[in-house]
Amino acid sequence: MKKRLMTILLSSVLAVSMLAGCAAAGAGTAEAPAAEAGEAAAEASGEEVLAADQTIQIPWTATNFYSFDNNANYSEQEIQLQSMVLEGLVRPGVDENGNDVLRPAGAESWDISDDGTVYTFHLREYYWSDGVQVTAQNFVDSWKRIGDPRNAFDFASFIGDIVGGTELYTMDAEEATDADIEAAMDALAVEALDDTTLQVTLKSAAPQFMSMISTTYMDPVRLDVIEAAGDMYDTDPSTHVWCGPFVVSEFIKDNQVVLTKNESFWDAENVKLTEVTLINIEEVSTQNTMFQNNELAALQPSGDYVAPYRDGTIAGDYTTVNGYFPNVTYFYFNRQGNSTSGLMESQKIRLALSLACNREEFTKVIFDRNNPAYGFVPYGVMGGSLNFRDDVAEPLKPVFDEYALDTEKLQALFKEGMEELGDTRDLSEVTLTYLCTGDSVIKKQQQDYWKNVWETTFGITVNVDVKGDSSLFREARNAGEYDIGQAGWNGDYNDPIAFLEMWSSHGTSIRYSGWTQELAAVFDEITADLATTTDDKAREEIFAAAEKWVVLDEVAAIPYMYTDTIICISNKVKGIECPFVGPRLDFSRAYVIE
Amino acid sequence: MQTLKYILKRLVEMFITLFIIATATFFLLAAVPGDPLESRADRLPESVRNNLYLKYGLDKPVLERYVITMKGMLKGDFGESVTMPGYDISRLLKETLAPSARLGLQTVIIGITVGLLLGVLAAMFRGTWIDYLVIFFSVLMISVPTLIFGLLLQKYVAGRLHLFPIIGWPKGKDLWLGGWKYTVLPTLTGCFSYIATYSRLLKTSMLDVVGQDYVLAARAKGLSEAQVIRRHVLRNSFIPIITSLPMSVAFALTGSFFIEKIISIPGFGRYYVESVQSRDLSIVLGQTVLMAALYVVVVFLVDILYTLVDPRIRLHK
Amino acid sequence: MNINTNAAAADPRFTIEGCLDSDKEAIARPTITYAQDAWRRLKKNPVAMISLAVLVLMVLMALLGPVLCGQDYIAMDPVNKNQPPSAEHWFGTDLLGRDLFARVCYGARVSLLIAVVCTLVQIVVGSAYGGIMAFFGGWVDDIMMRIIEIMRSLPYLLVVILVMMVLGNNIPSLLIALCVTSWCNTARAIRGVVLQLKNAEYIMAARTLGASPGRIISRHLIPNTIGILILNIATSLPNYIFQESTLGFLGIGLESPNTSLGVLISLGQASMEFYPLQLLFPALVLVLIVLSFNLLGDGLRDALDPRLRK
Repeated sequence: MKKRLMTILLSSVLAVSMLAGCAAAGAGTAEAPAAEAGEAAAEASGEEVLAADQTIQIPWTATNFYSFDNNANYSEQEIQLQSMVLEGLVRPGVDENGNDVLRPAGAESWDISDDGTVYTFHLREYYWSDGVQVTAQNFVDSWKRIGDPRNAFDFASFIGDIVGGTELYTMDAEEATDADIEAAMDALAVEALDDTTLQVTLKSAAPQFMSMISTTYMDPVRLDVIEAAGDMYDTDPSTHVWCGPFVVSEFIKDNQVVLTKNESFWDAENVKLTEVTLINIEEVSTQNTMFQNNELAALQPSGDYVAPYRDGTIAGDYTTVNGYFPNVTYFYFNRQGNSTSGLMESQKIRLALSLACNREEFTKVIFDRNNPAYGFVPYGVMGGSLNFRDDVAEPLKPVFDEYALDTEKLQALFKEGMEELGDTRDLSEVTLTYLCTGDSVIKKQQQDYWKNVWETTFGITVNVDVKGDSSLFREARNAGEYDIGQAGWNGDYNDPIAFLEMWSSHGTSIRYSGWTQELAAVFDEITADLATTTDDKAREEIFAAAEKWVVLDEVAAIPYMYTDTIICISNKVKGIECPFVGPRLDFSRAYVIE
Repeated sequence: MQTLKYILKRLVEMFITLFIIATATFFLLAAVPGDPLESRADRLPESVRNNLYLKYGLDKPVLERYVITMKGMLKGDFGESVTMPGYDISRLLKETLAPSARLGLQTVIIGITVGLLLGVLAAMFRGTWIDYLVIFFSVLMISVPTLIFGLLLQKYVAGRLHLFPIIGWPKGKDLWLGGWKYTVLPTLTGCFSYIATYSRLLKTSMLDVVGQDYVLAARAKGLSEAQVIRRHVLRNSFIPIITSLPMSVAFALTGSFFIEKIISIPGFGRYYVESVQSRDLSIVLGQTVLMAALYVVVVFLVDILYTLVDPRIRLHK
Repeated sequence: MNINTNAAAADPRFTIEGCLDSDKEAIARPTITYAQDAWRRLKKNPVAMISLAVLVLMVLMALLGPVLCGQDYIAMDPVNKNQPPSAEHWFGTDLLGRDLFARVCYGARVSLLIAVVCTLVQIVVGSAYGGIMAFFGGWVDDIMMRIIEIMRSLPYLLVVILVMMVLGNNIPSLLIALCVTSWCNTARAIRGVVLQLKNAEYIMAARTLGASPGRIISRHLIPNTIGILILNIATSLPNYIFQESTLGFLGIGLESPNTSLGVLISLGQASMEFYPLQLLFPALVLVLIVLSFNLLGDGLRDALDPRLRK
């Protein structure tokens, strides 16, 4: 299945200025302490008086916004916007204990059959902004549309758990006739029993299904509106109708979008903000100046601003949330058999490269934030009711501690790998190619850092091949002109499989990260029992085995960092929620106080 | 009659120049390895990918694409953007040109005016502290990157002193006239480099002229210093200035890249670099031709200006 | 001459004191060349001499600095990142714990190299082109002007980005990218001045006396355009340094381990709020270099321009 491939190029994730949103009071986990700043506590205890002016401004990387078509979306910025103007079946949120919850939204309630395969949603009576009722058929249309192979949407695979889903989205749009595709769409087991009852039948129990349908990709669409809008549906908001807490009232490409309160929203009485401006502010120092002047409701600090905001040493009336984020950042290898050095076939060499990475120093030196990664599933990810990282120790950690960055032992391991391949060269004659793109200061620092680490540890030469743009990068990658590549992955829904599945035969690694069908087949075998397992504990064990295989037995990747989330929220603005997955910042029920 | 003929001749030349520029741009872009659809198509299945290539005609050989592009251009159709679906150059211009044009105009007008004034001052008080002050500031202005100037102004003038808004640009009915307070910081940031360039250019040029015999003659016949400067020195010193004008004007349109970024101005500047990097032919071609046209027209006007400033240069040689 | 001598001799009130016939044609002051004369006048200009000294110092620093401080500009020491200046690290360290002084020296070396090479190409090609264009006029001028117009209206960024994309982010390709269209400006400026000079009386005189075009260009036009040229050099040197740094800000400049003042400044800008010294040091070196180039340029101009002789 295709997941949200945020950063094959390590682009968006590490460019930490992505979106100032808040994220996460993680999924009910032991999380890093949230620093309270200054007089925050005193303010909060007093009586809250609503301010006359209920408008806020939030920084938002408008250049990563591509389309108003929620089925076609894939970036974080798109999800942020859509979640505020559309209302799906359920809305992700955070309860008062900091646990992630899915709240009834468009669906008032839902029933799940005992075997976990039939979901029946009972929709509330709510309306689009043009006065037409939101019906179960709108959801049916949306889900069939996202799976339609002719549309080639990124998240088509989200219908994969539904009966007829995989058959539909994996069809070859060129081979199949329109009639075939229509038939497959009709066969998708999602039905509007009446205007307010939606029924879905899954192939097998899938505990992650509720989390998947909480995403904006799965929100309802109006086929008549899409048809009327034609080519302008993607880029012209005036052709749209909305059903969420806000409507889009103004849109300036790559600059800003103004949201105003949707008076016809079903819960309009609890929506207090009258206007929210999502605005593109390129420089973090500008964002800081504006946040200091109370012109921004939230700030996601980056670079040197992180530490002072996290530790509360910058003055101001704000509260800092420091939590986990569903991301893993890693290196992958060219396993196509044509790697530049010819050495990437050796598990020992891959392991040696992985064990040489001083992840503690890297996160501390380059970012002064984020968490070192010795596994592939980040902190905070839930497998049903179980917190995966709490139960399963990171598989790489004991081996890493055993080697303890000992240069001699690591070199010996590398040498052993070379001998197995019948390569008798001295280490100093070895050259590895590390393929990347890099235009920001932070990326350059990272490239310098890792090059230096591998060179000094092994005495080899690491050639950093920085491609001028992503197109040249892809060309080099597809031609296999590299040994090591770099990527990041954000989970779209809250389940370990969201991170591990990329190594399976229908995952994205085969296309993007030097992976092969043969290798994927091994992964498929390890996880074969997932389809028939519903017990959280049993699933967790399968995930643990798969993760160990990925990072240790096979060394498919070198995970080195889980990014975290640090968000400062002005104490003048209350009620902003930061779910672990979903929009970074849910301000639908937020309000401004005096 | 002669003048009319000259203008006609120049118009034909301008058209040919534009044509050659468009051709050069096309082939320069075509010469870069990789193609613009690569990054978009990478995510898509094979069949959809092929359809995309068909849609943009990228499956055809270069020469055929060139002919198609040129034919389209003659009709004013530059084609749809590859990286921004739903956009072509005219929609992009409609939505983003105004802020850039206004910022560019304000910057150029203020920058060049102040620059020339400082240049006159520096030349008249050559070797005194005024001269050195002007030199020092012009060096400082050109040495510190726009980005840093902008951020500092933003932080202190807007952030601390609250004199102007930190970010933003007038919109709606204020688009061209009005909302001046938004435009102060960006204009200030942008005009520094013009001030620096033009003050030094004029100063040097004036010093050249001051040494000429006709200036001596003017002084000898008893003209006041102010009259000498105004009537003889300035007029003749403007020739090198005029040479530099066309580029400044054409560049003003897209040169505000960094300012647009830090002040969050919904302008046109950012697209240039981005579209070149993503080889978005239709956008790059549209912008290049627009800028080139602007440049060529200003050069033409300047050539006419030349003859006004310097009677020794005639239109039709 | 004779008449005067005779007149003096004839008048008893005047006597000739120690003037031998053989000395009559001698010139009392030693002959000095144009360059010597310029140098003599430059020496009298304290501002220019100070600038020259600063410039020499900067060049020495760029060449010898890393040796003097005994630090390497690439070696990382992540534990000691963002250190303030100390005896060990004269300018402190950057965010990977690299010695900033060594980096600034190396960066200055690269920036100077880029500036000098590009300026040289620009001046040589530009003045040759501009001179020829203006001097011959007519259809030669027309065609050459069209070429310039096309070169110049091809946006500089388009050319630079494409060249860098094709040739990679290294010093030679950067040099090529920056030089491709740079000479057009000089050529136009030179053409403007030469057009103005062409009608000057002394050129007309030279022409009347049968001087060849080559002689007129080299003997009359070029020396008279020296002011514009020096201004061109003085503006171009810093401009190149800054174009390079702008490319750094755009993400298409030099890649590690290469560095330059521009790259260092853009790195410093990222941390200017918290570690202003990391911006200040490279910026200061840059301002000093640029300022002394400018003041020296002014002085040189005064010294070289025969019309400004006092």
